[in-house]
Amino acid sequence: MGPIEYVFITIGIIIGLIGMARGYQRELGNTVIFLLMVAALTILDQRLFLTDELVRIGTSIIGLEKGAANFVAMLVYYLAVIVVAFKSYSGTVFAFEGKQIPAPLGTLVALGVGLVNGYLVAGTLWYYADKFGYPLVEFTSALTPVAQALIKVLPQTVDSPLLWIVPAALLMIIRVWK
Amino acid sequence: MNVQTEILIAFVLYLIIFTWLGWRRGARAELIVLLASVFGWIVLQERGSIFVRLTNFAGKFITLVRAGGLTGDQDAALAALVKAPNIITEESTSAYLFLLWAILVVLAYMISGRKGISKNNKADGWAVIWGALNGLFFASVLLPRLATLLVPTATAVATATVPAIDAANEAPLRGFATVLESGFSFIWSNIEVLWGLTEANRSMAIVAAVTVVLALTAISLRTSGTKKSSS
Repeated sequence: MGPIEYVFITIGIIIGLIGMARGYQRELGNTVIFLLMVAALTILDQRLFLTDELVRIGTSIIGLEKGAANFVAMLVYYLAVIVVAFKSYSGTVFAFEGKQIPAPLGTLVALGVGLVNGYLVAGTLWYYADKFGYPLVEFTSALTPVAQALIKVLPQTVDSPLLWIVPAALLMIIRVWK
Repeated sequence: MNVQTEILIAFVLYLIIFTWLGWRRGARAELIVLLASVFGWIVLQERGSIFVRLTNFAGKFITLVRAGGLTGDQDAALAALVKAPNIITEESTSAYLFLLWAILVVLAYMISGRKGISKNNKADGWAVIWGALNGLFFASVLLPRLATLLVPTATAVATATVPAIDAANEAPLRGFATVLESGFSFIWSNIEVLWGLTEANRSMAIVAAVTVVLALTAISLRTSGTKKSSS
């Protein structure tokens, strides 16, 4: 494995451990928000061509070089992910009602839900870093086979971004079902 | 479906039996059995000679008493003592130590099932884990011996197919580590096979798996706790 996989997998694991500490009752609320974030960003990127528009603004209006414009476009996506993640963890907690299963099974489930959130957040960051050619680092060597395999299963690589709305909607229905 | 699938099903079924047994008996009872069987195995493998010597000493003492060593002719008793063979010979040491371990395990199950122990004995996730570990440890100890039942004339084949388990001078828990390692790497290889099957629709498979896991997790909250009244 090369360093790139380590960076994003570490981010995912840290988010997973945070989820284990908070409990899956609260993590599921974050999961809904992250699912909707992934769907929204993918729709903006692939259906409304936000990326092309950002690069055009950077080159034609601000006068940046193509590389710099790509970097700025990536920062816009990164800022969106960071703001959503920060507000979902520190803002009003969108928790699910009910009681968590006792340890050790409950702890493992919380870790699992945390790792799903880590996949959604870290996967999104990796996708846009890859899309814009890793502008933050001097990356001269080709991606390792492991990295190439992992990139194919990032959240944004699903056939349709609307698919991520399905689990989000299902969770909301379970949340409000009486 | 192939042999690998049969092995996987057999392994999972074996684990289910012991996890169910652990659930029924409770965490404390299963932990007692696990500690007794594991530590008993280590002690008997590492310091088994002590038990062999004690048993032979007891045998010699009985011989001495029967020969009148405590009340009658000392010379005759001593002569009988010198001639008396060891009860546990070098060839039977391994079988004797295994018998001691088996008795210890049976006693552990009996004692841990008594009412005083079973009080506050919870059927929780820990009971399942201890039960599974008991099953895996018993597999590492019993499998080499049971294999010779299936292949009675080919002990060499049995030991070859179960490598490095219970060989002389092996670390006492090497077999247990081998079973854990083999079991989980086997399960992992089957997961890789399943992953390969999803190649055509991988993204759909990922979304479906995430949806199922999250839905089951959210439903567990609804069924395991009391709801707060909405204001």
